[in-house]
Amino acid sequence: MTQAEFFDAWAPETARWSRWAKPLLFSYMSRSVAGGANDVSIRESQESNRLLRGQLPPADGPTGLIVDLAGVLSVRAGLMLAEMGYRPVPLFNSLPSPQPDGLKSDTADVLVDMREVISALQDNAAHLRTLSITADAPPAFLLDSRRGGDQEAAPVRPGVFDNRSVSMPTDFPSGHYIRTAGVSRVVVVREHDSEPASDLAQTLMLWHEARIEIYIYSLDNPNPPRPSTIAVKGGFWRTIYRFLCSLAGPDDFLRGSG
Amino acid sequence: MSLDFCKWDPQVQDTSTLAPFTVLMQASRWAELCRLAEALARETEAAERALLVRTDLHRVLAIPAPLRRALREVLSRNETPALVRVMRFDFHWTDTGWAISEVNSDVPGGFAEATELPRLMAQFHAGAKPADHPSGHWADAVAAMMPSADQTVALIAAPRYVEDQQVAVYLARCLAARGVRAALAAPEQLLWKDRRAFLRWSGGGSLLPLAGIVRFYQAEWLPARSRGDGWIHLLAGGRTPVTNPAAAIFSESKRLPLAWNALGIDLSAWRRLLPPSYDPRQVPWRNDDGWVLKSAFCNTGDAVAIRSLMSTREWAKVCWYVRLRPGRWIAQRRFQTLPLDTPMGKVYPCIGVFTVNGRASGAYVRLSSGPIVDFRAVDVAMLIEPDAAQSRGPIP
Repeated sequence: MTQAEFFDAWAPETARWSRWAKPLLFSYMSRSVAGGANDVSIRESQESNRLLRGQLPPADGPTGLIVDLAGVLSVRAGLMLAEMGYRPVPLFNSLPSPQPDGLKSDTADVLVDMREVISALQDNAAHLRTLSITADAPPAFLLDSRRGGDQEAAPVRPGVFDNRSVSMPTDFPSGHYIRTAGVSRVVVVREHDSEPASDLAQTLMLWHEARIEIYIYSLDNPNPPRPSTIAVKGGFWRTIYRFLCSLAGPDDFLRGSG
Repeated sequence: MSLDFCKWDPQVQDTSTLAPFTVLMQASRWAELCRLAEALARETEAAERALLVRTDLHRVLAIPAPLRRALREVLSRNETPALVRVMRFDFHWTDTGWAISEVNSDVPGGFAEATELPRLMAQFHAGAKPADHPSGHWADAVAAMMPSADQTVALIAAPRYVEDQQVAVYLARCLAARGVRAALAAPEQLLWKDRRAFLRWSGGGSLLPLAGIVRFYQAEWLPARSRGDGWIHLLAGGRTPVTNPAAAIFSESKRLPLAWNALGIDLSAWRRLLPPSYDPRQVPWRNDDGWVLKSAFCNTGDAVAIRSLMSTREWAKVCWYVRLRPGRWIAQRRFQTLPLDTPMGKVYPCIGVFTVNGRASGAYVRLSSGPIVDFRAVDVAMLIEPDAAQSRGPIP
């Protein structure tokens, strides 16, 4: 399969949510070395899949998902959710290599190793294409919970390429769009029972303001999804954020080239 | 665009950022834009050279204090040599002819959109062709500066921001296609020895000597880094060439017009094309919708304010910022961009003309639904058609 075919398998043109799929990792695929998921991660993902199947609603419309799991687990969960009828939408934004022409299999000189994620996307593309997912199936946005790095396991240090990434509200559709598509609640799937990461929380707060219900489901808690407390905390933190913005002025919060 | 040319943000929230159609410009009009852009580039570099020694004017441009100190070091230690000089002038077709809103002279973006998108769309338009290929000219210029084969160039971009990294990766691939080894890095990966740059590599175990550095990292962000990083060598006293050089800081400031009269040089193209610009304390911007306010180092239109386009609350916030720090803003007379009828409806085109080492090299064109070009603007391919072709819109 070519890069375009891999990407089309994960983001077919006819699917409503494909526009938001991030092409970054796919643009490295033809030059990557296939690593494949190792046995441990397959066993772990099988366990995760069992938990997911038990507690998440079927893909019949009003529920969308954000899967925020570690690397290849997120991809495997996305594939399992596709089998349930959801449309997986990869939103992985970490550059896999500092070299523009691909990856070297014998170096891991990056903070967030994306090789297994790339392999998992490749390895499962053909199977994904065989699934009958409707064009307007509800979305399962896939994030890598390792995107912010792990200061203990892989500290920022000279010589290691900093390929950490952040999840931005502009990576997702707006709350208004979500609602008009018939999605009225979103379940965030996490490994542990805690509130979403601060970057994702910005998106969720905006969706909450658009009257989307936010729930949390964790793999280490077999109970059904619980309402997120983001609505309670969100107002407080947004007030703080806005106050800080008012002190700093617009320039200090801008990024991007001209 | 996404897979081959690193356009990794084709969708920004609910907006698709690539237009499914093309805009056409007549050849003579494009030639006119090229002449104007090249004149502006000459004047810009002349102004930058003059400002290097006029340290009394650096505060007028709202250059942050640590950068002002760095620029004074340029005088004592010489400016780090330039690898390539690239700028992008944003043109608008108005009811009184061409006008420019600004120059992006420190870290201009839009290379892939200006080079690859027109090339891809040209196959659907017989008789029309891309204006040029800025990425190719830029990469050729960098490659020509390499002292020998198998040299390494580092492209410095801010970590975690894909909108910057995608441009750096794309340019790195352009360099790699010309036999120049290119690698992305964050500023902290640079090591300076005897004022020459090395790249820390493979967990810090290797040091790669660098033949050049592409700084895709705004100069005004550098002072936030530790001085021990050696970032000063990107601007002053370094022996490894950098693009863009330190002097770009002067023209990146939107307050540059406030220093013109003190320079005593010919800036006739700038004066003709840029709307009148003043310190906010000199004009009645609060009660006159004929003014647009810009912060000195804004980009992507996010710190550009027009009263009639904002809510009362947003305008009150701007008024507060400007009253608090008027020296960090510029008030500019508004011009009336003529809209274009497109399948998207009425849009306002902004034509960003690139110059590479002073030569016009192509255009990055964006369409916005309002007068301000911000992150919601849509990228569109512009093709050049012979003058004999019938005009398609208000851009003749």
